[in-house]
Formats: sequence, C-alpha cells, structure tokens
Amino acid sequence: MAETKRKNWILLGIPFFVLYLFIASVPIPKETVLENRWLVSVAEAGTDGEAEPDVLPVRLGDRLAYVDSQGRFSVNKRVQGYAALSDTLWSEYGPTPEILTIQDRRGEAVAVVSGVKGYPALIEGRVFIVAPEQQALTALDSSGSPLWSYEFSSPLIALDATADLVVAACIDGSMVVLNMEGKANFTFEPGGSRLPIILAARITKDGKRIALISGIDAQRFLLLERFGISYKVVHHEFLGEGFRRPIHLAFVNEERKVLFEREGGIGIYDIQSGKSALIPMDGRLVALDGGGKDGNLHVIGASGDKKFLMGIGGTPAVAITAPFVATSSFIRRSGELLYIGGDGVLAAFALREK
Amino acid sequence: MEARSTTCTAVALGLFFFGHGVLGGIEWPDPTARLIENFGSPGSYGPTLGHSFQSNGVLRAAKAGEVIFQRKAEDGASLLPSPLGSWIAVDHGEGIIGTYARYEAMDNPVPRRSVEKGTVLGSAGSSGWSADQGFYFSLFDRRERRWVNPSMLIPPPADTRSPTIRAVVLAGRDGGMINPSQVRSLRQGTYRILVDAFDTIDATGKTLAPYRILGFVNGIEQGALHLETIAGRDGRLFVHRTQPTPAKQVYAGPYFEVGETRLSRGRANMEIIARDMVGNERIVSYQLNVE
Repeated sequence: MAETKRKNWILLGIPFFVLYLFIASVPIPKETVLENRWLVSVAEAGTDGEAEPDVLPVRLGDRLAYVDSQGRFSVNKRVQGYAALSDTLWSEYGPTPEILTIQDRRGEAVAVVSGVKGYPALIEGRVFIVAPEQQALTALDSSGSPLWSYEFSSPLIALDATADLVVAACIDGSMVVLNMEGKANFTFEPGGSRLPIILAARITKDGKRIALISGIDAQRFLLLERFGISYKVVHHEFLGEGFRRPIHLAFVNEERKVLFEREGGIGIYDIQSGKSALIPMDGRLVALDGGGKDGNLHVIGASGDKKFLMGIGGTPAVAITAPFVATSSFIRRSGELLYIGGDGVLAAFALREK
Repeated sequence: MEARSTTCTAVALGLFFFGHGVLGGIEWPDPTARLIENFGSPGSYGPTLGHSFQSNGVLRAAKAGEVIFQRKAEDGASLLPSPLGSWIAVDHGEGIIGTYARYEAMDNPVPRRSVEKGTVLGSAGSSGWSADQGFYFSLFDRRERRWVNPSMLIPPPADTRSPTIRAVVLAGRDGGMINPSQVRSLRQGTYRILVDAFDTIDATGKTLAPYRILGFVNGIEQGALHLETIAGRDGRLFVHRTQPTPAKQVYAGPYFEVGETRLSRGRANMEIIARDMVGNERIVSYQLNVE
C-alpha cells in the first residue's frame, strides 16, 4: 500500500517538475571572455609597410604608434619630448617649439606650422595651437596657416571640437562654444558650486550635446542640448565635493551614454532613458574606451601601483575585471577587438560571449 | 603731469590697498628665484600674463588658500595639451587665483583642500613651455575677470636701474614712421606714439617690460600705458591704457603703442616717461617743429 502511494506521488510530481523546468528555468548567463589574438613588444616591433590603412593611435609610455588589427605598425616611435595624437594626425615637439610638423598615420608630413607659438591639439582632424600661457587658441587650416585666434578670459582647462565647433572651458568657471570663424556662438557659466570651475567638457560629433563636469563643493555633471543656436541644460546631478584635477569624461556607446569619473567610481548617464548609474571602483580612472554598439564599455583603473581592466556591460554592471601591473596603460576598442597596453606591451583580444 | 592719470592711479591705489590689505602678507613663491620674464612683456600672443622665474629651489604657496585645480604635465584625461606643464591653481581668497606652473610636480600631490602660506607645491622644473629650470607664476582676479601684475601685490626686489627707452616713433596715418630724435620738423597731423622700452633689474639683467609708459606733448598727457591688469573679453585681450585697449593694438611689433597725439603747427615739446615697479624712471624729451 505504501509502495503504491509513493509511486502515485512520484507520478504526480513529474508533470510539476516538467512544468517547473519550462516556467522557472533561466538560461545560464553568457560570460564575456577575452581571446588573445596577438601580443607585441611595441619598442621591438618597428614599422611595417604592409600595415592596413585602418590603424589605431596608441600612446603607451614614451611610445607613439599607429597599429592595425594584425599588430603591425604604420608609425612606431619613441617620443623624446611631448606628442599630440589623434585618430588621423600626430605631432612630436619639444618644450618650446618654433616649428611644428603635423604628420598623418603613415608618417607623412601634412602641415608645417611656424609663427604660431604653443602646443598642438589635434581633435577630429582639426589642428589647434594652445598658447604658452593657455589663454588663447588658434585654429589652423589643413596647410598649417592660422584661420582665427580666440583669447579667453582665464586659463584654459578643457577643450573639445567637432568638425565645425569648438568647446572650451576655463578656470573661472566659464565655457564658450566657438564656430568655424572663431566667434562665440554660446557662452555659459554653470555656477551652483562654492568654487566655480569647469574641469571637463566634451561635445558630440554632431554638436548637439555638450557634457560638463563643473564646480567644486559641490561638483556637478551637466548635459546640455542644442536648441536653435543655443544650448540648454537637460540634465544635471550632484557628484559630491568633487575632484580638483582633470577628469575623464566622454560620450560613449555611439554617443548614447556619457561616462565620467566621479567620487566612488564611474558615472554612466544614459541619454535616452535619462537614467544615471554609479559603477563602484576602488581607484582612479586612467583610461577608457568609447565602447561599441553592443553597449559594453572597458576602462582601466589604477590603485597605487596596480592597474585593473574593468569591463562594464550594458545593464550597466561590472562584467569582467582583470588586475595587472604597469606604469603606463592603454585601452581602445575597434569592432570586436579590444586593444590593451601595459608599459611596453600591446595586445589585442577578441571579445567573445560564451 | 602725473595727476592727469587719475583713473589709472585710482586703479593702482585700489590694487595696492587690496594687495596689502586683503592679500596682505603675500610673498613670492621662491624669494631667491631670478625674474626672467615679467607681466606685460611682449609675447607671441601679445602681453605675457605672469612672471617667469629661473630657479633651482622649491616652489611655495605665496599665501594660504584652497587648491582648486592641479594637473601633472603628462595627465591624459583632457584633450588639452599643457603648455603650463605641471600646474596648480590656488584660490587665495577675495577672488584671487594664483597659478603656479611649469614646475616639477611631486609624486605625492599637494594636500587635497587647503595650503598654508609657504606650503611646498613642488620643485622648480622645466615642464611645459619652459627653456630654463624654474617656474611660472600668475595672479588672476576672478571677480574682475582679469590678470593682475603680481608685482603690484608682492613687493618687487630692490632695484636701482632705470628703464631704457630704446626708440620712440611717431606713426602717421599714412603709414609713415618718424623718429623724433632724427627729425627736427614734421607735418601737422595725428600720430600714434610708439615706444620701444624695456626694464632691467639689478638681480638678473634680463630684459623686462616697464611698469608704465607715459607720453606728453606740451605738458598734456597724450597717452599712458599701465601694465597693471590685462583682461580677456569677447575673444580678445585688453590692456589698460588710458582706457581698455586691445592688446594687439598696444603690442605693435617691437613697440608699445602708448597713445595718439594731434600735432598742430608750432613748436612741440614731447616727453616720454618709462617707469619700473620700484619707481625708477627714464625720461626722454624731443623738441619738434610742426609745419
């Protein structure tokens, strides 16, 4: 009798178990893994004439390079003094250069700048010269001749540009947007803090949005959107007392989000949803990658002498962490490849979900 | 004659009392450093906005204050290059921001919030736009949005040398340049007064900008350049002449444009006075026949 009862219970339980499997089962989450593609010693690699045209700029310690997806370099050199580097242009210069040579990613000279003193800023294919006292900016044409100069009300702290706009921020807490003629289209002072200052400023490629980190005590993140010829604040949030140094700030994930360093970690603001998230991080942000379409981001943080790679999923949440020891570091993503550098070594990893 | 520059004297007195009152006790970041370029010296973009020093010593806070910004030369967070090298900005109160730059940054940054007078900020170095071992120091008045000549707020070093007036030129509206020391007579008309003048101090012998240059004709002030404050507005720097004047106009090649004068027929006595921070002055006079 007891045996029959037990069988009945088992038979009754099987449908519930099957039903449970269908209703309550959760697929095993995929993990992002890094598959090593190649690893090179930058100093020993030299240059390769067979490098693909689509190369990425690399600044790693005292090395300046452009590398392709196979680990071949179109430019690879040790920087003696200072260097400016962008996706398409670079320049190496001494402390007080009389002449600046602007070169492309094949190492060909594309412009020679003389008569305009200062350090080059290479942004979005444009060439600017920042004056020795950081109070003036000169825009140059493709041949290196001056187009316009703008003298600011106080020393410059932050600079960004699109194909036709420049956003510049100063130590007195003012920001200005300059047009192609070097005229001020828009000026702005965020205020709202005991000490007014703008520590970081970025503009989207289409010029529609500007992100700022402003003020000390309290520090604020602000997002401005263009309305006609002007900009309006569409989001702001307080970040605590705040930093007193340059801060990493960038539009990421095809400019759908803004990533910035904040007290306690990394702030990520989703422009579409208007949601803000804090990714805790113990250390200082030293490099970041703009991410891809998939919503993933990768950053390098530093705590003391140790560095760590942190992958952030679209949720956003930390998806991967990997510590390493290096004085200098580099990170950049292109398609499915993630380029990571530490001291003299550069490696490429394929991002795979398993 | 000087009484006529009432506006500028008022500005100077205001800053003097401001400097010795609210900012009383402010001192040079390194009293042993040698001044090699000063506020108002002709630079690549017009006037220099601070003092540059040659030094092998340490750089100290000129006065107590609150650190509002510090950057190491090699910091990669910003797209902006750093001609100021490693630099730190300290709010010294009453809106005055001191910029200490082009030094050798310490591995351990300055305490996060506040500094006392004399707090070591770094060692003299050559980061950023510098050819010599030393540092750069400027004062910015946040309230008035202008750079202030540090020598107005901090007593300048003892100096017995008078400024040198190397050349004076009268520039006519037709573009003609007349050297009054070589021409006894000239046509009546309106002329810009251009003065090539510089100062040297006992300690270094380096060529520096004078503090003031004044131009008089027959005892009447025709122009006065006061290198006390420089302001940036609407994309341009303005120097305080008799009134704010675009720096690009004042810094005309090797000359300072001091003002403009209308010379009428008759004899004219032109005097040019160059004065340094301590009060040493040089006067040159010209007797002109205006036809």
